[in-house]
Amino acid sequence: MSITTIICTLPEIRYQLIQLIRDEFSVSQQIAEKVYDRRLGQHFQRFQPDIHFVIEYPYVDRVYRDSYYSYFSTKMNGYKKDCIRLSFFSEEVRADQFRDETQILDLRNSYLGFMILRPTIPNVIGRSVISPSALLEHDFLCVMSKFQSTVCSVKFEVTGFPHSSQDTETITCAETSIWAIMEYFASKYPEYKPALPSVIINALKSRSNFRQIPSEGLNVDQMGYALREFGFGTKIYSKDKFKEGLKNVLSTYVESGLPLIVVISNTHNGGDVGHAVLVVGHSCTSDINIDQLQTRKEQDASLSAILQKKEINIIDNDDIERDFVIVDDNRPVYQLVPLDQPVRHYQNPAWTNCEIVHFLVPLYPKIYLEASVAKKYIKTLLLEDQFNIPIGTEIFIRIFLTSSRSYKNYLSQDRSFHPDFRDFILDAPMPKFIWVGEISSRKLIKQKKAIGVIIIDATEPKLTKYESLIVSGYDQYFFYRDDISKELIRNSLSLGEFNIYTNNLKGF
Amino acid sequence: MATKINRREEIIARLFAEGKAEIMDSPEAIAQRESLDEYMEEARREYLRKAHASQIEASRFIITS
Repeated sequence: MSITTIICTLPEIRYQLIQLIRDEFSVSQQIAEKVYDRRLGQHFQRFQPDIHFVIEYPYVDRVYRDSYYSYFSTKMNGYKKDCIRLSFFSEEVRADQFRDETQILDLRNSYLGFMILRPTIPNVIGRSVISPSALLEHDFLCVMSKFQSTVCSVKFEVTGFPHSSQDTETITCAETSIWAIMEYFASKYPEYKPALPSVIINALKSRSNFRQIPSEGLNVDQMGYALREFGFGTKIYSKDKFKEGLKNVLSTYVESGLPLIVVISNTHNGGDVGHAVLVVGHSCTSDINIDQLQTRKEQDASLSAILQKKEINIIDNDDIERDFVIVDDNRPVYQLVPLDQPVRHYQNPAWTNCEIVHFLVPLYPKIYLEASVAKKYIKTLLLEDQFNIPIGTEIFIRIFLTSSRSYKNYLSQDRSFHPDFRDFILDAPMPKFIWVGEISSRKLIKQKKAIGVIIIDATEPKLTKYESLIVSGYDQYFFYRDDISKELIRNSLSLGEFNIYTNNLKGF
Repeated sequence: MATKINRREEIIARLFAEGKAEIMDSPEAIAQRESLDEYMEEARREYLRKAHASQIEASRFIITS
């Protein structure tokens, strides 16, 4: 047995893959054609037309091998244990380039990711990481990480978000979502490890009263438990309880650069769909988005009363009607959909009237202050008399979670801040994670500028006596809590305009 | 020679010296703080109610598709 490599272009890929699926996975020509036309073709239709493919087989994939040894090999029917690996390049590729060290850098620059085809007919798409640059439509922002791979024995690196289809037996959409979350975090932070299908099943052993494989799906509670077992301080939000505020809070976490597990269902509308997808980003914010942004009636009665009394309008970045980036194991990666129509791309009538009913947030375990309360606190602080916001003012506010390390790093390099205010924030002791509220206007935010900022401690859930306030500033004043007297100190300083923070999603 | 830098302390001292810093301890400021504290306590309790109810609901919802 030896490894065979095929290099081909986008127009040639259908023919090549049908032959390979037929021969390597031992299925008929007709089945191989169906697999391509119904499962694979839709992925490659979204690719840039000049993409080049490198196909290698047999390939040992760690995720499929785990499913194979823990489940498929225990069946009587012979399942293949090897996979096929597809690698994508933005430019023409020749076999000799992989053996010429002067050309490796060019190859690495044109590498756009990989996709594994596993012999689980018809659900053949296994582990994949595809750079958005491989797609025709890639004008969006999403969380991504770097993943290493090899092509023709040469090491490559791709930046993207992990994706896989479900095999419907060891992994359904619930397990696939957990797997993708863990792949992402493990590639980014050393405190997390990837979770293979058997590891997920084992983690849930104590929370399952019945047989676990073949998988019959998980309940949302089990998903939260698995994430907690893998090191997260998982939070859950349900539509029934958070009502219209659910989308707003979901958007806050996306703006914070966190991938979320979103549960979609139409059971409350008479259907029987219960599906899990990941939300990993959103479309870029346009001037039209900002112009069309309406002031939403504040759900909280007290906050709403203060706003009315002061005649101040707060327009919230999280109320922008935009598309969100979804990673769905039934569909090609990076689908753009509005939150009101999360399965807009499905043709099947069984999926009509699906809505987001829950979402899970894999939070760092020491983030004790969650989004909805943090947002209320920041908005209320802003409305206090000391900020002196004139009656009739319209404020644009953008609230997100970030690490103090990343925030300080951005601040240290950004010269748009008043130097004293910048040094004051940089020298302030901060926890690992902070909530940041940037205060701007409809006009200024189009230039990615703000005129105020509120920074609070994400490890402090008690929001009394300004204990969680690190610093706040707007227009002519900034505030902090004095370490000794514990009183609020107001300082006169003209802050001017400064650049907004865009590190979470690498854009706005 | 070693250099010791604390820009934050310098800025605080300078703003106080220039009369640009003010301790917010007037009765009005304290009343405002107490009102904020009260409101945030209620906001936190309301969130906890919703969070617990979300957890209960989630335990009943099966994902299969």
